[in-house]
Amino acid sequence: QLNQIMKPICLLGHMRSITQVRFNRDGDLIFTCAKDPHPSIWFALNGERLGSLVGHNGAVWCVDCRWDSKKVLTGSADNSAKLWDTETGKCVLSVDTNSAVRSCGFDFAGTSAMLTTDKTMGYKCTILLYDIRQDPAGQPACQMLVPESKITSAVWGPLSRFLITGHENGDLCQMDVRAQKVIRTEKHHKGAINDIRMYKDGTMFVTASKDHTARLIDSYELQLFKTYKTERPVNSADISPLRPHVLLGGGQEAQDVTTSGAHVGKFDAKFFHTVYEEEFARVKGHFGPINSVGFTPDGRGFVTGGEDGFVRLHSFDNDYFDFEFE
Amino acid sequence: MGSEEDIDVSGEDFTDPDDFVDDIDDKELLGDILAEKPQEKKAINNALVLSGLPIVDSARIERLQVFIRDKFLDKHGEVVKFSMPTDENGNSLGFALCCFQTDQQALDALTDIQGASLDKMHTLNVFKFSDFNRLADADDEWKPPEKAPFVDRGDLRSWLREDRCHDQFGVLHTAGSVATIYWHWPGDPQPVDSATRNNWTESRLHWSPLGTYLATYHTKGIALWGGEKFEQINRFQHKNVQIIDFSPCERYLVTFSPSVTKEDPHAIKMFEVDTGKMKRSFLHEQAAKWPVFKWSHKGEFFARVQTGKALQVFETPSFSLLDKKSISVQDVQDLSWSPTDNILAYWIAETDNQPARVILMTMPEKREVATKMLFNVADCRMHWHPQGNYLCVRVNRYTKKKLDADNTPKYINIYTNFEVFRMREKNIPVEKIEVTDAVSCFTWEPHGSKFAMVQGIASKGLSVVFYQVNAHDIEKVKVLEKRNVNTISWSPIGQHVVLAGLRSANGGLEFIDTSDMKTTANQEHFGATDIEWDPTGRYVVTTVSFWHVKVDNASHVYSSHGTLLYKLNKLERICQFAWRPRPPTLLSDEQIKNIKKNMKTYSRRFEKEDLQSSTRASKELLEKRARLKTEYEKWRAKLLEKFRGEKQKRLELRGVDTDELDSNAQDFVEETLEFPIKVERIRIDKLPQVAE
Repeated sequence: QLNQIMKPICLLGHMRSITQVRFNRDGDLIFTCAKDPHPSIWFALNGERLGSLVGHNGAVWCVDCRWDSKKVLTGSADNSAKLWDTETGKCVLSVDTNSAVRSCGFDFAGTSAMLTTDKTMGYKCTILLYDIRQDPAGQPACQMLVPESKITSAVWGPLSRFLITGHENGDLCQMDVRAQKVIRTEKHHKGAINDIRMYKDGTMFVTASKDHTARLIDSYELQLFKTYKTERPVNSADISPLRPHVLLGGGQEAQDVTTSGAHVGKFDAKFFHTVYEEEFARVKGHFGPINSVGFTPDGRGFVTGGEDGFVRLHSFDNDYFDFEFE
Repeated sequence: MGSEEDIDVSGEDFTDPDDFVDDIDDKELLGDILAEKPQEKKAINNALVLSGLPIVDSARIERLQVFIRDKFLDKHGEVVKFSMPTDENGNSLGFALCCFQTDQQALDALTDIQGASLDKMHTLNVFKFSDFNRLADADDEWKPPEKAPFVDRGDLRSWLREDRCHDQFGVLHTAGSVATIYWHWPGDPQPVDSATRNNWTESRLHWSPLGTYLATYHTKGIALWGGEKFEQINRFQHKNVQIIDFSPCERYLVTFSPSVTKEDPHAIKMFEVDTGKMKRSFLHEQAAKWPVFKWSHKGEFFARVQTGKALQVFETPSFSLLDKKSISVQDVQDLSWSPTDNILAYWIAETDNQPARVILMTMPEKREVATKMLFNVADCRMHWHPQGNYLCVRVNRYTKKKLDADNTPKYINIYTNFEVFRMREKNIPVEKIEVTDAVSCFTWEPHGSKFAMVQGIASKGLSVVFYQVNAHDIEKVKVLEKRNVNTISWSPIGQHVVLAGLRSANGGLEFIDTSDMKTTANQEHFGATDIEWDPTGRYVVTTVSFWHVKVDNASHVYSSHGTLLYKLNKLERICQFAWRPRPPTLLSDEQIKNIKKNMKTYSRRFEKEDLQSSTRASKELLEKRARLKTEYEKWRAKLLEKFRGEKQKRLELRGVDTDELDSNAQDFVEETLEFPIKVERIRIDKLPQVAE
């Protein structure tokens, strides 16, 4: 067990639960969105806020930063997705959807944006692709209906040839939206897939599921390779770009929540060894379930966002890098 | 038997036919006579050419010849022929030829006088006559010498880089027929890969002083082994070698064998470890204790005493006498080098008109730095402090001396003085301690300033006495009475000591911490014959050797405080247990002080590691993990192949290479950010008033 005392930088910018935290490719900016309408951008170096994006009217479910860090994409419960200029914070494009936008993401080239929307009264879960090189004026380049279990998490596949989608019933699919077909479906999870995060090279990804597990799966054939087991639903997971470690953040069953008077929160982020599937460390700090986790792009730290509205940015100390399983 | 009648052979013709050629050659018929035939080849090997001689005129040529023969040649043997050619005017030409009676004499002379200086301007350059022809016939054109193939010995110090700094030890067991080298993992020593060998040595194992080599004995000579896999490094031929000695720097190996022959009368040979070449050999003339040749600490000099006559100090790498001559010292008895400086200590026996003396001399300057006169001396023994800080000369003195029938001195009422030379102080002051009881087992504390000895006789009860050398005196700090002790074994880092009763004394072991002179433990290893500390001072091992006792052969491993850690008794008939020595630490005294100061932080880390290793994963778990790792790496390799195959597409899509975080480093823009660390607000009207 690692007993180090790591002092994290606490980013206090949201009034409501955090929904997602993301880094830009270079790792110097952190993007956070919460159930409040104003996503924020922060400097990873010292936690100073660059600014917040003003425009949405509801909870922001998802955020993504383009590979060149110049544009930000957000999706909200106010039935819209917006494209922002990172440097100025100005909204440059806005599209309206029929229901809340649950996932969003830039493609590899940064010229298209994908959105997935929730299933609500009258509207099926939909995947929408937009060409953002010019104002699409609300018209998606293509869209695809998802008839059965709704999408709870989605990411682009390698070279953006297809989308990888996680569903409420635990299904995992490869969707070719342009060809309007489901390339492949696999059922590895027994519960909803809360989060999917790609490995730095896009060849494999980790899924976080309500069924208390996270799994390591390859992008090309959706073949299950590793399973990481915990006692609680896993809300988010990420793979370290530097070491063979996987980070899991999760929640508690509602009935187990107790008011904690402790100074430091009891909800922990868990570290597993990628290959051996063994948990080797826990980092406490949040006062509520952890909703989103992410390693810094250089693997030297990680960030967690919780139900308590706090975002905690940690840097690993030397013990972490020397730590070896036998 | 002849027949009864004589046979008449008068009419027979016994001459050979004309064309008969017999088929027996001379060698068969006349073998022994032919062996005595003067061999032309032989004559060349006993001839030497001496060049570099001064050119003198005919008047002085006779003097020069006599000088050369006297000074350089006669002492090596009979000079059968000597010739100094001259030019038409009778002046010498600068060289001479000489022939010795035997080849060996010529060889000895060559080694001895090569490079000797005659005067300021002339140095002898000697070479064999046989070489002369070879050199004269040498090609005019220079051919570059053939490159000798590079023999990569690998990392001879690989064992020092073991993760947890564990030491190695060698065990000779199964009555000497099997030798195994182990990693000393406390409680669970593991044999080193490929280091369990049958008949590895024919007598014993011998580690080199810094631990780099393992020497094994064989009928043909010595073999050295080393490196990670203990491969053979070199072989040194010396038939029936009996005992060996390394120079402290490990560059040279000295071997002794009692088997001498007419062709090879030299019982002592010196080899260069690296090349395997024999550099010099010596006759063993007088009975002496081994090592006959004692080495200076850096291996620059080695010396021996010619009892009663002289000190012979040789230098390396020439292996010739320092300044080409021995140091003549009448009545010299013994010598001893400082373990850390080039200082030679020797003592001279007393004669009728001169007291005994102990003299300390620096080398190579041959400057006397200390002398001590001693009166009524029967015998002296020199004990150097391991760090060279002190020299203690144990002087056996007598109250009365008688002469026996054959003039050998007999000493009455012997008592002991210890003369302690303080080597690190100006002018090397000497202090004396007197002890009336019989004394044995004198030992210095390494890295400390204490010494201990056993006093008394067994029948009245032995005591172990500890002394402390202070700045101004030598204090007797502790007397431990009624101790059946015959060995005092100090830890190589000082402070801890084991008082042992080995062999016939029942194996009692008393562990003492000399910082407060408290006994930390009392143990017993019945019948123990040997005791050895590990090079770091953490462990003590006592062994019951099969060479002395045929039953219960085992080695017991204790901590420095005397706790029995474990027993090495699964090996049969252990003969020898030998820790592998370590080279001295590379840390400076300053660094060691710092580490001791910060001991707490280091302890924490090591305790954690110890905890981890004690709960170390079982073998099965480790194997399972190794399997998982290989599977995972295979899986990843396949995925990476796909990834690499898509690189072109990725470049097209983004226009730059973004595969790694710094793949497009050329596009990086350097930005300097300033963050205020402290902001202070000062009201101007509150500034202190400046006096007008």
